[in-house]
Amino acid sequence: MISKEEVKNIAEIAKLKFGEDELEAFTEKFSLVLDFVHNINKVDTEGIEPCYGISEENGFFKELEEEQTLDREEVLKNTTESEYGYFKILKVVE
Amino acid sequence: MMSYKTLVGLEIHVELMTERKMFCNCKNEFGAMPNTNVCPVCLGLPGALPVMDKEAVEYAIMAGLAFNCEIEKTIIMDRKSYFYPDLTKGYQISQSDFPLCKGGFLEIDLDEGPKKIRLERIHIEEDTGKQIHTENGTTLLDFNRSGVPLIEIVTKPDINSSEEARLFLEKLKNTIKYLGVSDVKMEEGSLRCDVNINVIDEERNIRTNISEIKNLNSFKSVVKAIEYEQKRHIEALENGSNTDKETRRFNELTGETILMRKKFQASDYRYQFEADLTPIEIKEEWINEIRTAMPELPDQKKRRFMKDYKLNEYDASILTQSKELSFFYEELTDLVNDAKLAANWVMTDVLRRLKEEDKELSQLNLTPKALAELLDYVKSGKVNNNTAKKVLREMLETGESAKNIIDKQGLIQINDEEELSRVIDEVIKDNQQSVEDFKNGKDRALGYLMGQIMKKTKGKANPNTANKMLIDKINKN
Repeated sequence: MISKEEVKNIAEIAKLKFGEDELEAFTEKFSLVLDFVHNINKVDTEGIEPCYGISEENGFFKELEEEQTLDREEVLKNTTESEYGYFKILKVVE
Repeated sequence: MMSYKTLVGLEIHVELMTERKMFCNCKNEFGAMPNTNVCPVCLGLPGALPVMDKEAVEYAIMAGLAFNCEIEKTIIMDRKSYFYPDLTKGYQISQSDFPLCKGGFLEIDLDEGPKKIRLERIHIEEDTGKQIHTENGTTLLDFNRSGVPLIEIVTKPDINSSEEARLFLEKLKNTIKYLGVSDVKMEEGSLRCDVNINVIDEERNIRTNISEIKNLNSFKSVVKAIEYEQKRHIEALENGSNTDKETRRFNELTGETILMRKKFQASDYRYQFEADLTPIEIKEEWINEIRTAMPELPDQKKRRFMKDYKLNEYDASILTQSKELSFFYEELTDLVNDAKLAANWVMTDVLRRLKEEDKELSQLNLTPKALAELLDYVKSGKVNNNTAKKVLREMLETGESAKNIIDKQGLIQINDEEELSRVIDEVIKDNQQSVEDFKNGKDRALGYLMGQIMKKTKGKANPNTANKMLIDKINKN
């Protein structure tokens, strides 16, 4: 069973906010999910090489073809606020 | 007496000067208008896929070879997940378990001899966007830097003082400059450094918890931050308490560090394999090709200077301390064909000038060719040393050539003994008292008489000849 403290910590990392009253229920549900996922640990992986991708082929480097750089108007199209060509957001300092 | 040992490890980020960004074909350039080198990959738009840049890997391998690392055989990238506005994907493409370069070291020169600072690793990763915090409660975001290739160099805690840290950083910066893979400018952010520090009380075998110091914008700040932290950690030990494992920020104005935020655990970053990039095998031949094409490094150049130019170790290390200076010296030596003369002038007059004006060599109004012209006059005895120093000063101020200044002011040295003889006779006649003083053993009087000769010849008399002739004449008198 995951602890409430762990759930709080994960919520903080994931930038999620919920109240103390929701914490109890959330912790229980979280534990159920983890228990389910833990089933994967039952698989015997003794002597199996780790897998770093599904492709058998060797990876490749980029071709120096034409850049896909966008016009700045296009870049800023979906933002609600911009200033001097920058995206503008409320100040974030951690 | 308690004995404390300070342990410092550095994490250094270096932006690589590749032509394109690490995972897309946008230009990698500093100082462009905001958000003009940006594409769906840099913005982390849905569906955009990264593809690895070959030059970035090549530069990172070069750095690895220069720092004596072992190069990994396969490139495997990971996602480092965290939420921050300058990272739109929600994860940074970095390396966790398989850094491109492992181990290695860099040697620094201490008074007591060379010291090896071991490296933990060098890994490759992408840079994030740039944030500008404004006065009125907003943050402005520019994603030109997003996706610029970086190497992160992590040392083992082998550094034991602020001075060792400074020497290490200078050597590292210089080596990377020689490689030409980055311009390593701390003020432009292409070199960034974080400090990890703690202190051990060796008698009681107690160690403080590690502080990580961020926001260090110059080598001076690194030195000051280490000194401040060293004191803070020792105070904690003396009070029988301990420091907290935390991240602190250096305040340049006060010279103090302040608590920044709770230290993230490595597990908080939920590293996972970056499945958008298939692992790439690195062939041995490619590494060998890179090794062969690598430019000469500072230590190699220093040894070559000692051998080819018969310089002593001290002179050779000063002259190879920066790439620009070493090239300047070498070109000058080739032109003047006198390694010792060139070394003397570069190490005294040129370096002093740089120090006085707090400038880089490239900002100085002087080419090796221009200085060589002046040194030819010195070598052939046409201009004496003191006059030449004055000419150099004027060259730097006006940008005029040595020949112009010497011709215009008629500074060619007087070697003609007849002419010198006439001047010396005059000086002896006008300064009988000094002549007597000198005969009575007052050596200073000779200096005065020489000064009079120089005054009459406007500094052009060949000092050695004039000096000899003066003594001869007084003794015959």
